[in-house]
Amino acid sequence: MKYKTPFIEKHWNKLLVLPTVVYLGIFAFASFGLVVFLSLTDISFKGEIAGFNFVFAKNYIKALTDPIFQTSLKNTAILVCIAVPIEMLLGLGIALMLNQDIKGKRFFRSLFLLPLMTTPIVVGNIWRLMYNSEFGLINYILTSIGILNKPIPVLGQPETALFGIILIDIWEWTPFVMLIILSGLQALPTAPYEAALVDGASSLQIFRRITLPMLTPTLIVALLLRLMDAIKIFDVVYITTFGGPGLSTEIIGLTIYKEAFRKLNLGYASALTVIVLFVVIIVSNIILMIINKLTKR
Amino acid sequence: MNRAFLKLILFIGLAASVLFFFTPIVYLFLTSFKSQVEIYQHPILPKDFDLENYLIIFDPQRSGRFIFANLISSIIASFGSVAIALPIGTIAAYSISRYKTGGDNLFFMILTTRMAPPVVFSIPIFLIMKYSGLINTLHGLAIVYAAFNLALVIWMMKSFFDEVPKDIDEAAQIDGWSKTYTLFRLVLPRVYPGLFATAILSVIFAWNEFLFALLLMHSPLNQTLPVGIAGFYGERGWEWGQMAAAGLIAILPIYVFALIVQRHLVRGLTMGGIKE
Repeated sequence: MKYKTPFIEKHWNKLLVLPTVVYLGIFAFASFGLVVFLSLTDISFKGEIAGFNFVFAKNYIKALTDPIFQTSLKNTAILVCIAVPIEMLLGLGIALMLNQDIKGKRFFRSLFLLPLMTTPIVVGNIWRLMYNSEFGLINYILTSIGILNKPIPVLGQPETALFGIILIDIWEWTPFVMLIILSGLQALPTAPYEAALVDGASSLQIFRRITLPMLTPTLIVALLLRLMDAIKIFDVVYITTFGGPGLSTEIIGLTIYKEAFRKLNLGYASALTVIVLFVVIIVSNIILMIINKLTKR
Repeated sequence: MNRAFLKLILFIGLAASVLFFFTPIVYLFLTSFKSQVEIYQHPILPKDFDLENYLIIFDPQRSGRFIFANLISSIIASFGSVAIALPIGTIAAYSISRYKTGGDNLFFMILTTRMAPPVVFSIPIFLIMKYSGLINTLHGLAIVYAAFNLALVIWMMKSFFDEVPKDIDEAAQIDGWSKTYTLFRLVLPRVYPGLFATAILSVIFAWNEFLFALLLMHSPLNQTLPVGIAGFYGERGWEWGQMAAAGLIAILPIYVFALIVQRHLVRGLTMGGIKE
C-alpha cells in the first residue's frame, strides 16, 4: 500500500506563512504599487477622485527643488543628529547607574519605562503644558528662581521650537536606549570583572577596558534602531507645533501629511512618499543586516 | 573616599534623571485636577483633588466630547487588531523558526513594514479603505493595525519558538503525530507566556497609534482616544485640565500593561533581536 502524504502535511511550512504573505501582500505591495502609480499623475482628492493626467517625472523634479521638502529634510536631519546621540549618552549613563547595587532597582527601572509607554499624543500635550509661557512648569520655575526674567514661549518662536521638540524626543526615547543597554549590561559575563578586581583595576579602567568593548554590539543595535525610529517622528510634532512657527519644525512625515490631506495633492505627496520610502528601504535593509550579524539571530 | 564619591555621583545622577523623566507625568496628573482658572492661579499643586474634569469629559452634554466612546473604540480597535494579527503571525513565526520558510527575503519584507515611517502608507491605505467601504469603521481600523502588528508578532514569536528545543518536533514526527498536532498541542503550549506578552505589546502599540485613527475615523464616536485627546480645543482655547484628565485615562491602562510585560519589553522593542 502506498502512503500518500496529505496536502496539508506536505506544504505545511508554506501554508503557515500563506496568511501573512497574503495580508502583507495586499497592504505593503498594493500600497507600494498604488503610491508609485499615483506619483506619476497629477491626481488630487476632493472627497472623490476626479480625473487625472499622467505627468510622469514632473512630481519628482518638483520635489527636488521644493523648499518646503528641503526644509523638512533638513529639520529631520537636525533632530536626528542632535537627539539620538544625547539619547545614547543619557541612556548609557542611566543604564550604568541602574546596573549598580542599589535599593529599589526594579522600581526605578519601571519608573523609566513610563515616558516610553506614554501615548505620543499625550507626550506632546504634557510638554505643551510644561513649556506654556503663562503657567507652564518650566517657565514658572525658571522665572521664580531668577534664571529667566521673562517666560520663553519655547514652541512659539522659530529660534527655539525645534530644540523644544528635540528635548521632547529625548524625554520620550532615552528610556528606550536605556532599557536595551541595561539588558545588554545584565547579560555580560562576570568572569572578566572578577579577574579585573583581583588585579586591582580602577572603576574607570574596568569600564573602558571591559564593559565598553563587550557592550559595543548592544550599543550599535540601540543606535541603529533609534536612528530608524527617529525619522518616523510625527504625532508629537503634529500636536505641539504642526510644523510651525513658519517651517521651523516642519519634518518629513508632516510634509507628506499636509501635502496629501490638507493641500490634497495626492500625486505630488505620493512622489514625496516614494522618495522617502526608497531611502528608508535601502537604509533599513543595511541596518537590519548589521543588527542581524551582531545579534546572530 | 573614592567609593563614597562614586556613591554621591550615583545618587545625584539617579535623582536628577528620575526628576527629569518623572516630573512631566506627575505634572499631568496634578493638572488634571485643576479648573481652567486654577491653572493660572496654582502653577504647581492643585488646591484640592477635585474630580470635576473627569466628570466633565465623561459627560458628552457638558464637554461636547465623547471620551467614553473613544475609550471603547480604542479597546475594540487595539484588541481587534491583536485578534487578527496574533494567530496569523504566530503560525508564520513557527514556520520561519522551524523551516526557515522564505529565507532572508521574507525576513526583510516583513521587517520593512516596521521600519518605514507609517506616513508612507497613509495615502494608499486611505484610498484602499475608502473604496472598500472600510473607512470610518472600527473593524477597518483593526485590520490596518493588524498589518502593522504582524511584523512585531512574527519576530517576537519567532524568538520564543527558537527557544523551544527542536527535539520536540522531531520526536513527535517519529512517534507519528501529525504536524498540526505537533504545533498546536506540543509546541504552542510551551510559548504561552510569550504569546501573552506579544499580545499585550501589540495592544500597546495599537492603542498609542494616532495617524491612521486620524485619517480613517471621521465620526467622533468612532475615534480612538489619541484622536479624541488631540481635539481638546474649546471656546476658551485649550481646555488644559480636561485634556490632562483625558490623557491620564489614555495612559493608565498602558502603564499597567507595560508593567505586566516588563520582562519581555526589550525583546519586543528590538523585534526579538535582544532577549532578556
